[in-house]
Amino acid sequence: MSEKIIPTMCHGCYYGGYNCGILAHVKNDKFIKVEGNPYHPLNKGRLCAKGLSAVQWVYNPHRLLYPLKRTGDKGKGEFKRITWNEALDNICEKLLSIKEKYGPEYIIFIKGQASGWFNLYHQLFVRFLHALGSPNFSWWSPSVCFVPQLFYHACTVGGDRYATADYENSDLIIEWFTSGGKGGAARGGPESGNSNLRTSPIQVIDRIQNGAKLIIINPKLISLGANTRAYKWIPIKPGTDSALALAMINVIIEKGLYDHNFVETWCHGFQELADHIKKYPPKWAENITGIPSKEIETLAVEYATTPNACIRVTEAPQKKDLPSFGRAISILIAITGHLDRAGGNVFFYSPVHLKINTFSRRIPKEIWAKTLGADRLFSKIMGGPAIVGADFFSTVKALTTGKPYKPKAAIIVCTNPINTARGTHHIKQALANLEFTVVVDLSYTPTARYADIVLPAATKYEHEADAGIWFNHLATCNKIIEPLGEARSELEIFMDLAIKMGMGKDFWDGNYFSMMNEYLSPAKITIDELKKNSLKGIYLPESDLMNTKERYEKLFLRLPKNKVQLYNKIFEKYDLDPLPVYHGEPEDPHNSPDIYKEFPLIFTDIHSDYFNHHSWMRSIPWLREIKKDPFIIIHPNTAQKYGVEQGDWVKIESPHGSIKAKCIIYNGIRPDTVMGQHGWWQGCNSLNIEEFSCEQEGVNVNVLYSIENRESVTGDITKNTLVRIMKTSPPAPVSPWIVKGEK
Amino acid sequence: MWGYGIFIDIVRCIGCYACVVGCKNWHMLHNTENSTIKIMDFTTGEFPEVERWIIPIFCGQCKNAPCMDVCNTGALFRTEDGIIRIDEEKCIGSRRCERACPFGVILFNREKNKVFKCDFCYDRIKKGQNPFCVDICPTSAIHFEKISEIEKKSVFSLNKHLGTKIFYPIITSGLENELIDRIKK
Repeated sequence: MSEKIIPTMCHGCYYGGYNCGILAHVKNDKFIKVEGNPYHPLNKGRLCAKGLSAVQWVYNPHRLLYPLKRTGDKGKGEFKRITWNEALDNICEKLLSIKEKYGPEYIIFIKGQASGWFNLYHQLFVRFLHALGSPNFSWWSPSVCFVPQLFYHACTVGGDRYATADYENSDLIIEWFTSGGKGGAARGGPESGNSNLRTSPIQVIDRIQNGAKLIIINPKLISLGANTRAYKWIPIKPGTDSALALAMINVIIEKGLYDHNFVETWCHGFQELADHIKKYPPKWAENITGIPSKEIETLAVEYATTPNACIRVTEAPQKKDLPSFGRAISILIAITGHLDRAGGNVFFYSPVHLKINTFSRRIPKEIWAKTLGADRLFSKIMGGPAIVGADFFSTVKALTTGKPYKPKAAIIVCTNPINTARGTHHIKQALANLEFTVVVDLSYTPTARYADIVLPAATKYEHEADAGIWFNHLATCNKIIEPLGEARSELEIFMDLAIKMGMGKDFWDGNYFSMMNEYLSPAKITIDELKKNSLKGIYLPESDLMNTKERYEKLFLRLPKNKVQLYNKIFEKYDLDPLPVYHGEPEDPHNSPDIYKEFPLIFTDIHSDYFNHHSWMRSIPWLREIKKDPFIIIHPNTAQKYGVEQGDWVKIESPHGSIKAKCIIYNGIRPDTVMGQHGWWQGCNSLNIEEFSCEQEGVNVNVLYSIENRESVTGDITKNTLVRIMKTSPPAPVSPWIVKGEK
Repeated sequence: MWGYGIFIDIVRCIGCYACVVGCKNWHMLHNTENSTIKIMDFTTGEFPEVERWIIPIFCGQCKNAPCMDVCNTGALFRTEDGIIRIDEEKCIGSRRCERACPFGVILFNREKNKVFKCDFCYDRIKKGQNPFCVDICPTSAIHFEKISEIEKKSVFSLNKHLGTKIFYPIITSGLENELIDRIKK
């Protein structure tokens, strides 16, 4: 039988509706291989290792294939197979009775990144929860780096999104604790949606080969900086980024290198900032950051005097001291005249925003007031719970303490908080306290072990999935093959549940095409038209939004005095530091010298890798064979000092817990620093690698941090602690799932 | 095709393994040991003056090919284009070629009990396409070109003695020897 080639979009590093274009090869109804779609403007035929593993991602022995019902204790992993009918009937009955008995807010929804942020899936889930009457949609991005950094950015320089590095036009590119494109290596441009999540390596490299300079600020020399690409590597002490940024502002103001015109016209509180910043000279920062003051000075001068210079930060904002860092970076960009100007940090827009109605107006005011975390300052400043939803940590706290009330049911979709959120132990307790839990996921996860009902989700290659827009390019996914086992798309699952609950009318009576037409209506395109143009997509007319720069009047519209807040009047009003004040991280050599005596190494963790996406994809043999084991990276001198060698299992102990990881010795890391990686737990059957624990003595870095070390407004949580290391034995595997009646 | 080679612009290579995984995807190699492309990743210098090097090693379709020398079933053969291919019918899975390859870029397919090696995606190049890895490389670092064109640039070949058709730009003077030393190890 001949091979069919079907254009679709990748389901690899999924953040939203739009992803790299893929040509999927199908033979005898089997998905056999992929290639990049050369017509797709984001990747132009290129693909990364994750995208190229699509076939092993679909045909993976770790996937859930049937609805399951828990038969053993929570957490044990003992389940039996049930029918879809039984599963959905059970869910409907439970949710409706809990709503009836306690109130709709007792039903919570927890969603992670795997179904994408902001896009159709996200919107459909919100719509479903709101149709049920509950406001408690807890997507936990607000407590990790992205939303908190956006918050401080927007409170300083305005706009509704992050001003992202305009690599294409830049002569000086500063990658500030980024992974340098490991999140999605084939992506050829910034995200035009509301996101600042990824570097685009090809754009950076194109500019370098045209003479641009790349500066890496990172405790570790990242691969983007290899092969002479880094003009400078500045190995900063983890957690001290804010000290460096403040010292740069100091140099720029002291030397008068700021953009006088911009500052006079568009900034509020320059004098206050100039007075305040005097206490942060490079000499002060040298001691904290480990970077010689001369080097700080040069860096500041180079950035300020290069007209087309951009900064991208991603992982650096993950800190308790975000109020100083998030604002210092935004201030740096603004006062040097790099905001919304070519080659600087620019706001990228699409001409339209795709959306369905999420029924927020159906929730009465008194119910919104019951949203978990509604009283937080963050929620107030952002415009209330209808904008920010429920707070993840407030949700966990409500479940563990019963304050202000204890939710009864949770719907958890494609997220694995036992592994990916801080406070594994608290999250387990929270899950144990629920009366009824549904988990929808692609594969068996530690979180799913706590579910009453587990539903198997299909990959985006197995169902008619969503469409997306990037700048003015619209593209759609297509179904490649029939779902494996009885897996079903999340879209279908929630439409079916809605129908069973008598809400079919609000959910297009389950018709995918009607839903898609509503979603695409802002673009005035139908799903049929888009599907007919699957190979090349459809280009909408370009809008002024896409092409103009220096949109200052509009950007600063919602800021006090319609100006950039160098002195922040919003924060002043709430008794917060109106100017960025350096605090550092709670557990570092300066702030906790006593702990430092016992735990003499600084620990932090990296996120993205070429071979996994957060806690996903470690079951894919093509990727896992490249990096088999959870690891830490240390300098050879450190290894020697603690008597460990390349490939040894090492115990990493912080004041809060301990984990095990294999040792990688690397010259390109600070000798006082240990770097781990988050998201480890999964086994890989094909390579005979077993699953490891997310708890103490397991492989999950999150147990090393304290959940108390959170920033007070956004809840942004530190990724800095102090540790000691020693050689150890391998971690013990966890017991496998026992599922009755499968197959 | 005689006279074609691979030029790897390492200034563009970020060590993302897309070529390594992409090859297995395109040739549907699901249960293998080793890979057809090896990524060397090492540093020179001492902290903080460190340079990191990420250098992919491909099959060089060597003129004097150690793999062919040890294959005694005739499974490895050279096409008129100078590319070394494998006749799967004749391969008995002795893995002698795999051990003989100085670059370690012949893989073993457990499913078939046969070896597999890079043939510059012979089926694709015969159709006028690029090898798969060239097209999907996330940073466009891999180039399939006439050797005469490659040699117009300032390049070095992985092993002149063996006549490998893999070329790298000369960036620093010591890199070539450093790389050769490391491959020997």
